[in-house]
Amino acid sequence: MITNDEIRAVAKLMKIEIDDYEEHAEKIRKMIEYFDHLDSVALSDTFQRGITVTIDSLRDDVVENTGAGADLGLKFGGGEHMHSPKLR
Amino acid sequence: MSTDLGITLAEYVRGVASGEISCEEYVVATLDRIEKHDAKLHAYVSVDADAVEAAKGVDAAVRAGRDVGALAGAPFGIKDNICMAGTRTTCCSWMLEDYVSPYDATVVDRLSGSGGIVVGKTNMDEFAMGLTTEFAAFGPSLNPWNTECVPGGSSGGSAVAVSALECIASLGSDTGGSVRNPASFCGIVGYKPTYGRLSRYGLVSYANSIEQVGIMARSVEDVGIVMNAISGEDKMDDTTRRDVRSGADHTPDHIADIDGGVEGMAVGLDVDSFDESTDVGSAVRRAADAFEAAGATVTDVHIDHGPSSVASYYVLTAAEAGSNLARYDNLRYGYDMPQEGYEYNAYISRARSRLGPEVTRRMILGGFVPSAGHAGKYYLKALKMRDALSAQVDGVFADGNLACILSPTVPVLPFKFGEKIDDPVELFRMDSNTVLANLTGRPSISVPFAMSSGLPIGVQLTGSLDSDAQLLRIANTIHASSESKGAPQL
Repeated sequence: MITNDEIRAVAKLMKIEIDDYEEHAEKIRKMIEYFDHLDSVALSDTFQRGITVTIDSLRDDVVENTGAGADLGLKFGGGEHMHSPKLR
Repeated sequence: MSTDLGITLAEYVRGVASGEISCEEYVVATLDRIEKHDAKLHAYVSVDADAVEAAKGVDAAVRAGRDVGALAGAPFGIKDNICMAGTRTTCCSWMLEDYVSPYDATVVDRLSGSGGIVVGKTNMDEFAMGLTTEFAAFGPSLNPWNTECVPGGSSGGSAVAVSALECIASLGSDTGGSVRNPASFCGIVGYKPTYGRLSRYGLVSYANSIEQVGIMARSVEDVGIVMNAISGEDKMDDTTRRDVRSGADHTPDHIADIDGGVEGMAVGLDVDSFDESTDVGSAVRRAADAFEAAGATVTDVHIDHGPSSVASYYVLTAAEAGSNLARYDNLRYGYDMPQEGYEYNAYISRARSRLGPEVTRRMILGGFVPSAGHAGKYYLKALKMRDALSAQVDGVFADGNLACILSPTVPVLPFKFGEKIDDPVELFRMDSNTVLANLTGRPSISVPFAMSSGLPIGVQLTGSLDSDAQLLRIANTIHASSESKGAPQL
């Protein structure tokens, strides 16, 4: 059973401010209680599955400036990153 | 003569090619219909009136004898979590209210490259978290068959738009049934391909290892036409893949064999997925009978649709969403400022207060289930459950005889607004038949098959990995036997 303090702690860690705390807490508690159904299944200790790919089958990890956004008047820094407007 | 908006994409493409249909007239009629009905139905959150200019270009190209692409100027709706350059992509969240995408998603780029015209962005549950559109920040969409009922979700706007003839086909995203569920509730075809068949580049991420872009249309053939136009490998998305079954170096043809029928095929009836005493259950039984009448054999199969599989789905998606939504700090989409100190933290908190209640809850869940002390009980166990489900499905298809699994798409009829929104567990149960395909990466399609109390019932077919073309062929057969015909009267 998740406690109110645990919900409050996770929300704080995730920088989420909640106004109607009690309503959220009750629904979150119901959701997590539902997750306890996972306890009813006997599962093996190891993972049997997954797709293995070799590193050379992945595309190169390089920045490609496609020019996207230029026609929207957005500014590019160093040819790599798009700048948001400054907070005033 | 008035334009018939109820035709299929295939009929439209043939009509444009032969000169019988004017793309401009069709697109104008579509926009007129949106203007007339969408204030009530709310399928769209933004509409592009410039679509008419694009349509004029298609007609000019036809007159000049130039190629107009496989989609020939057909009007599409695009779910508002799929990026389109120069247009707002809000995910129906106040957080992204004014976000204008600087680039096209690959599926949008390919759709446009094949001649498709986007007439608008469609409504959805905020960040695709929901299955009724009641969690859409700008208001829900209404089911065109009965406006007191939900249209399903999260791609509810995309489904309503196709069903209400406000576009010819649409794109959505399917993380746990978000294309198939609203397709079932709105009486159209909704398709989630094998994971990796459609690029997710430009799809605003919810749960990366599970979600896929999906296609909604009025016929199975239409889905195949769109798949041919937009599927295939994409260097911008390393999870896209080839058809490993054929080893083909190209995208398979999804319509070449679509009229091939099901003679000699075996269909597995997922007998644990429905209650035959209900309207939905009896419709599934009649669909099984229709398969047998078409020459297939139907055998009972058993797959775990219990709460544990739904729990696994919600644990994994919450964890991935928690990670993805950490990016919604309004910095990359809002203002630029130093990333430290009280001002930054207060700003993040303020920005995240723009997230709606369901997204907020799932973010908290996403922080909780993989956290120290809880990961073993929830997250790791959910990963193992996912493996176990894949093994079960592999077992069902192991001997190579079974072509697909038949079940209801949703276990109930479309329900009324407000009926389930306050009970998250009740909503979880609506996903019981659809999450299997997402957790295991299998292709799955909802086909409208019956009506009850004036509301549509969809049946779901799920295939083995990379059996997409065969699955569409089977779905096309059952759609031909559908008791559900025509569009809703608005």
